[in-house]
Amino acid sequence: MARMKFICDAERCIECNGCVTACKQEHEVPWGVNRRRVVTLNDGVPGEKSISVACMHCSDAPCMAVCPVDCFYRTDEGVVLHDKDICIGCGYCSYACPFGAPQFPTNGNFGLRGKMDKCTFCAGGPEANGSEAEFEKYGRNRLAEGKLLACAEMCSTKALLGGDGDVVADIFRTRVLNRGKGSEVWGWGTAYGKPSTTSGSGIAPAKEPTKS
Amino acid sequence: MKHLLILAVALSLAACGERSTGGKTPRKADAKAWQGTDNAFVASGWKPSDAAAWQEQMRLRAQTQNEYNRVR
Repeated sequence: MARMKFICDAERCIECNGCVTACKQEHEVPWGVNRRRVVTLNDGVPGEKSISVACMHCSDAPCMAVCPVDCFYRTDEGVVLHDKDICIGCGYCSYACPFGAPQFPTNGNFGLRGKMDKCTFCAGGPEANGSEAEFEKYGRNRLAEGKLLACAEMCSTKALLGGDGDVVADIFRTRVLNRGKGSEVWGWGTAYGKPSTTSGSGIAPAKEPTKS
Repeated sequence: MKHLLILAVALSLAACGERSTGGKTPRKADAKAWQGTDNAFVASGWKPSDAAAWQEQMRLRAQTQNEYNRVR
């Protein structure tokens, strides 16, 4: 069974926010909620790096561990989803998540916090696949439509890769070997764990090309 | 009078009980992605409810992100 993963290639991301826009448009995400966002380090400084961040669908998800009402579950493909009918909007998952993925719509006065919303890996939620109820709560279920994530498929530079972890890791590995640099994948170790050995199934480190 | 008292005690304590959930959450079961959907947006090239076809579709679709397949 496929294990769905994201990889964002910091060497390629140009901070266009196409992924953010694609996500918001595809799922009709409300104002104030960003399931995905682009983070730039050393903004304005030559050599700045950007990375697109959303829920990483962690192998050992801390949000799932801390949820007091046990509203999270993991699909066979490794996608971490939650049931909004059970979520009480307490915000524990937000504090636990190292990527800041859980979002809370503020609807009403006094900063009232709604139920948690986050990236679903375009896999919807526990409602019937492709149903109106699923779309209303979680957005479109592209996986059930035989498609991959809107953000990754829309990425203009193909910095953001998504899909079966083995396939996207192979794509990224080929890219790194061809250009000779940029094997570091931010957030990978935090979300998916580090390989036990450097020569395992992880992404092979590339050597900097020598200049002559 | 005695029966009335027993009935009153029974009714007043009725709300003190806690029903066991059996350690299970009321979370709904989710359908598998490979089971597909019957809306008009299903991608062509695979048959919903066929797990193997869905896997292959995911693999092929992911390869569209690999420009080394298109540009050499």
